[in-house]
Amino acid sequence: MNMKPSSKEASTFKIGGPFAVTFSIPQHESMSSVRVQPFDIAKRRYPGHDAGASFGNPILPSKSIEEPARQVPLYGEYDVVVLGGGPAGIAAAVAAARAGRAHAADRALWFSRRHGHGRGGHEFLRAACQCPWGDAPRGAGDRLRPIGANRSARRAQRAASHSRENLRTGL
Amino acid sequence: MTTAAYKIAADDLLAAHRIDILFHALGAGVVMHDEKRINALMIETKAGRQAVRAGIFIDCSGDGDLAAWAGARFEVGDIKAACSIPR
Repeated sequence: MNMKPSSKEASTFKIGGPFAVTFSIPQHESMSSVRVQPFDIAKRRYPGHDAGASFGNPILPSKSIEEPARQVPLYGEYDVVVLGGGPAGIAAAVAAARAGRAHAADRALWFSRRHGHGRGGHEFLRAACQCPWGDAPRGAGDRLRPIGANRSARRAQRAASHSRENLRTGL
Repeated sequence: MTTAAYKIAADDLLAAHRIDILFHALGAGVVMHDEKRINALMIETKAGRQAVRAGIFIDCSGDGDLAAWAGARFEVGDIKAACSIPR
């Protein structure tokens, strides 16, 4: 990275609003896109802070830097991507995989952000029961029994049958 | 029931369905195809920033991150109403 100043003049920026402070930022080649933007009180966000994209906090500090555009490696292409590895994410991924098999789809990807945060299995099983395909927990109960989680497995089975009854009547 | 049993069961369930799992990945944003359609989900791991494309994206982030990035309407709780993850 070339940190030599591209020119000696400094650009002047204004902060809007009640402060109206001006200050200078030296223009370096590598820093050419440092911008200071006024806060739009009516919209409660900074101009250029795309409301549609909703990235980050709309009430950001007044300085921002523009990240250079870059090529990002493609991790993969999938039929279904599930963001989140909690009970809902597991249920969604499994349900998608099961539905996908029926529709000759390929794979689902499951991102874990909080794997092992320990909400406990019951919630996971209940979430699995409530998936729209209805039959997700059958696998879960069977998987818990051999590893000594009998109570939860029984609970899961109860919840599963309850869920299936609900599905029959409710849908 | 221990959380360890839960993890084993969860991993087993997902492995049995041949689901690719990416642990310790944080959703970082989306690249939109147009106003309504998501082109790619940007994720960040220890390997850096990567993109994942799919026909269907399911938001199970717990915070509605993906939906919010994609432009879906949302409300955020405040101190009075409910606890929420600080932004």
